[in-house]
Amino acid sequence: MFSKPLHFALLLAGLIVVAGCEKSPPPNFRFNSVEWLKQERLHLSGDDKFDEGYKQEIGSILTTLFGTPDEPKFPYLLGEDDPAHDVIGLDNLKLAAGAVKSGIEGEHQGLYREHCAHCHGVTGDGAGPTAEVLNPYPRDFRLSKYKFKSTPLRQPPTDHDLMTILENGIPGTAMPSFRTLPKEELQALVEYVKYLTIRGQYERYLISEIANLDGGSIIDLSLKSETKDGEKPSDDDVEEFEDQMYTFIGEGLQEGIIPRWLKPDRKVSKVPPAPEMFDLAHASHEDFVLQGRELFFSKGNCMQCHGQTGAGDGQLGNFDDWTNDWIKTANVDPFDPETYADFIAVGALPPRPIMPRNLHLPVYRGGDHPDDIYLRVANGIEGTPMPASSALTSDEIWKIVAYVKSLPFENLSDRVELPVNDEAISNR
Amino acid sequence: MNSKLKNPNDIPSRLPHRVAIVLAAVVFPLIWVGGLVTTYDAGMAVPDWPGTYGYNMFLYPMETWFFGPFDLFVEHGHRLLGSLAGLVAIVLVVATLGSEPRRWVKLYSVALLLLVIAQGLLGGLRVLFDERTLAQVHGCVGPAFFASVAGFIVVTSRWWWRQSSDRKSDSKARRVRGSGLIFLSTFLLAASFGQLVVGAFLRHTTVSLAPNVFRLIVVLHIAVAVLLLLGTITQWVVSRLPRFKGIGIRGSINVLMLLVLAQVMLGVGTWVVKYGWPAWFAQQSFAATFVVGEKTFLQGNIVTAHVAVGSLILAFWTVHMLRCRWSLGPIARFHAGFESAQDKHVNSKGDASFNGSHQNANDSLDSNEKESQLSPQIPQPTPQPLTSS
Ligand code: HEC
Ligand code: HEC
Repeated sequence: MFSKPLHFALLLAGLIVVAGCEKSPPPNFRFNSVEWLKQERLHLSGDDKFDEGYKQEIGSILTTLFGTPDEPKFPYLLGEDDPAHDVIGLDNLKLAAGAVKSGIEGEHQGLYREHCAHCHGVTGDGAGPTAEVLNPYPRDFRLSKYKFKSTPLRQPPTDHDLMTILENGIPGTAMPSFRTLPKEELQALVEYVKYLTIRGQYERYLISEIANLDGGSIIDLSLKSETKDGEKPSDDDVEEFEDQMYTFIGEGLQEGIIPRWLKPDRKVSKVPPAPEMFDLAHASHEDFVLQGRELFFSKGNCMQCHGQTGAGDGQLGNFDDWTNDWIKTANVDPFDPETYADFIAVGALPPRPIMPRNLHLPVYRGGDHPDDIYLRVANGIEGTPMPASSALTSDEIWKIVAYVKSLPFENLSDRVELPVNDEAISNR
Repeated sequence: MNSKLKNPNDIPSRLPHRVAIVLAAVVFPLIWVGGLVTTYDAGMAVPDWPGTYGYNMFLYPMETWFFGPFDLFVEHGHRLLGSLAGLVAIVLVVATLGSEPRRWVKLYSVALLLLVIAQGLLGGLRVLFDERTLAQVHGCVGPAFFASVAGFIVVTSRWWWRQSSDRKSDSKARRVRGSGLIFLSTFLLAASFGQLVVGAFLRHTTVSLAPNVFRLIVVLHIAVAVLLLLGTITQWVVSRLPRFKGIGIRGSINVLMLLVLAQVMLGVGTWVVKYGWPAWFAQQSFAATFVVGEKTFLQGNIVTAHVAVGSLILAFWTVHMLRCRWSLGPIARFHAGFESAQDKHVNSKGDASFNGSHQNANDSLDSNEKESQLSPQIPQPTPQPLTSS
């Protein structure tokens, strides 16, 4: 008989849920409270706080320009001819945004929420539900930094770069391959990632401007509107309003953030063809590799992080830029949780040092084609300590790439000790 | 209907038992497909309910179902299987009311029907409101229903009947006691249901859940898994003791041991196919080269298998717990109906020695006199001369 109370309990629970359940509200973009706290610490003394009203204001500016997770918009300020149409198409945004649905023809909607949001978060802040149990953390798009791309540091990735990531995934991390999705859906997702990036970047910009405002509004709509008695706004007020519009939307967004995303293909780094000796079958290939090895330990300075054996055991106390972004705040010590508890409370993920890669593993997260590795060494890996090697010639880079490619097959016991760049070691 | 009950060792009708097996055989694939619905986020592939794209569910054209998009196939298939389960549950009630002497078993079959109807409604509401909480509840009631069907199969089984006549014949002194096993199996049944609820929570997380909350739920899920694993091992080891031989509890615990081991591996597998290997393995080549393949065949099936084996475990704990209670517990409350039916039968003969081997029958009959008086409304099996058996 004891199985019946269970039934009744379950039925009851079901009924309560059914009866007491209002439809939960659609998810909203999460305010960047970490940036807010960071700017407060940077500009105010002691326990002073920014006026909470700014949160509202920034929220409504963002909603006006970018819409909501269910109803995305994009600020095509120049109308039909706005070049931003090349960066982001509204139709694609709508396909990627919103709640998860699929139709009778197999068309899917809410792609981002179906495939990405549980890791990258609805806002693209890299703090979706699963974030804390993943290492590395999912990417926070709002800093507009991408690791694996064909463009130099501080340049946004191309659509092709993002597409490659979505198709291939990132080995050794939680970032999946979405090869099973149709190409059009991937393109919609790529554009949605750019949308979240631009929105997040702009939000950071607005928050960083609060300190310069002396308590006034960011964009004071009342300047433009008629007064209660129907008086027209004064010319001064209108001018002031237009000034604000120009500064915060014109300069900040229209001329500041969006143009970086226009035609990034033009900025793609050229990879010179590999020298013949790079070919494994070439008679002097071994020599080529040895030269690469020497560069790795001397001029290239790679062992500083990747360690004496290339096993990734060099510099271990570094953080990536997404973490450095806020742990550089005064009085924060990333190795002492008490000093940053308030950042965690507003949603920062606990800082974790970034590991230089163990190059004995035959894994290249940004792609294992020699050209990919060339790009990593030449351009560095954005957002990580891995630097661009501006001092090396393309020939030297190819030698290093040859050595890197040979590392997984290197027999550690056969190694000859090489002279070590002492200066680099003492920098540690 | 009871005319077949020639001998107290006989079972009135095998029909409810067999229908319940059919029901379980429908519900397990139903749960599997239900798992696929969530795995492929197909819950909203058919936006209306109870119709399918405006069609009556049963008239939805075959070719669009089979050759349409995969999520529609899965979601619509889940609905059809669900309806089938409902039909079988109706048959079960009819069969049970018609041939089962025990009143509480009759009620049990009705409760099963009510539960399957509630579950269908939950599923429908989940679609109409597009609500994750409902999806979670729907995802937990399914396995609970499956486990209840398993319980029904046990209490209508031949073993159960045979065991109850053995109980009457065995002297109390000879009875094997195992309250530890009873307690542990009940506890583990409850814990595996709890684990299922936690799992449903992990599977149906809302995208705005805070990362530290999710991590806590993960830790909880792992902790309960360890608990369940240790508990199952304990139960398995204890039931190996010689005194528990031949009382019908070893089979179910052996199956459980295997299922729980498989489930732990599937759990690890689920993690890996969804999130890759944990960072502890970062220096291992197999982990470093591993690429998560979203919505791949491998991912979909491992995850769904983890869900389905979860409900299988729940069902087997139900079976095992009932068996422990029935064969190890004090003369149980719940055979009241059946016993009184038998008692009356035996008493009406005025002599208990209905079978050479059951010499002590009177002993336990006396001790059950009270119980039989408490449930007088049990249909009486027609007494038949024993010689005819
Ligand atoms: C299971 C978790 C998970 C899911 C689901 C996921 N990602 Fe990621 N993603 C990650 C992680 C972790 C990283 C960081 C990898 C690293 O730092 O090496 C990442 C990185 C990225 C990057 C940055 C790559 C770079 O070059 O820096 C992009 C872009 C990206 N993801 C887009 C997406 C999109 C779009 C989706 C949905 C279609 C998605 N991700 C789904 C975990 C996930
Ligand atoms: C200041 C520290 C630092 C130095 C110096 C450095 N690296 Fe790195 N390297 C890293 C880190 C950190 C990563 C891991 C980046 C990630 O994916 O998060 C990395 C990753 C790599 C990768 C893996 C790329 C991929 O696609 O997965 C290669 C190859 C590599 N480094 C080669 C080199 C070479 C060659 C040099 C010397 C020219 C070098 N590194 C110098 C820190 C460094």
